[in-house]
Amino acid sequence: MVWTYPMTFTANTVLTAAQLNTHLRDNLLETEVATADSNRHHFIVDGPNKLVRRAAAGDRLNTSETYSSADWGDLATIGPAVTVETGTTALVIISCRAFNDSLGRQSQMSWAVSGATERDPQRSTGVMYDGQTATDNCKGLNVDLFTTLNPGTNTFTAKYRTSSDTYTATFADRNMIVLPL
Amino acid sequence: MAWTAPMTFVGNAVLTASQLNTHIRDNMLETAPAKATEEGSWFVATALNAIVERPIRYDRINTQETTISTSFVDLATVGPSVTVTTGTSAIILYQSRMDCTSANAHTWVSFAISGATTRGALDETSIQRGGLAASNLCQWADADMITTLTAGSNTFTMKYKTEAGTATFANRFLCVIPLN
Repeated sequence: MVWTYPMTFTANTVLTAAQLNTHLRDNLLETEVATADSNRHHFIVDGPNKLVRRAAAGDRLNTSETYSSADWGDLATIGPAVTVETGTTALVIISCRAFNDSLGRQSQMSWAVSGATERDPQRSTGVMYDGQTATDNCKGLNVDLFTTLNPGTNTFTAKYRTSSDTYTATFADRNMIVLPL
Repeated sequence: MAWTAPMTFVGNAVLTASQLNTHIRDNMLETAPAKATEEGSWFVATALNAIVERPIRYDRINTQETTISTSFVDLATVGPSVTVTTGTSAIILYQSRMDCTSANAHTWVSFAISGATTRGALDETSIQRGGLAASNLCQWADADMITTLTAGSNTFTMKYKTEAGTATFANRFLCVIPLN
């Protein structure tokens, strides 16, 4: 069923069951309360007069693990990773604590998308630490509003890299939050 | 009152006031416009056919203040601090500018929770600055999604510490988005 613009009631007019079902029952069934079926959903406009429920999701891996490649890849424990139902847009937040075993070298965390959308990790949407003294930690986040997803089930997975294959970056307190919009 | 699955109207059936009140009035009173009270809030589901209005709250303190504490404490101006009614889940966003008089020393900014939930500031959910020359500024943020809150009124307050020297914090910002 879909939303129908509510009719204007006119005095002395007999209402039919079909009218009441269309303008009252069916419109009520299009409201957010009618479609709420689980804790923690929020409601997003999915088109004219149409709502869809979405749920934010997060994942955290505190384990400290290392990585020594200039190519994006996984740590020993893959992730964090989050699978959510989305439309075309989601707010993606990632953060981690990181350091490099070499002075002034980069340690980077970004994210890839798989499922309905395929997207490789990118330096432009990631956390990057650079220029610190060796083995000194920093911790911060990156946020991106991604507006070109393919609607459906999308999995966001954190990926990592360092400046060169000869440098080792250590990552810990890895966190990811995806808010479908 | 609660939501009732709207009845299917049948031709030639006499509608009662009770039916109209239950299936139309009371159901409309469960929808977002009926429950909306505060600009900038959003609606989240708390259970089957149940929604609640939740405000997104934030606080900002730009004042530059210092600490030499090696355990999480308040600055001279406590906060930023946000009190919100939540279910079990919320996203917490926080930011600060940081520097330290001690070269390479680490400084941390985190948040504690009080009220319905009690939780101290944690290193694993903190902004951390380290490995930089003395007094070099950086302004960073972090975010956390907590799903184990005790439902009710929860107060989130930013906390600070340093590894050594005097740490300075400014442009402090905290935002809490209740998810249920």
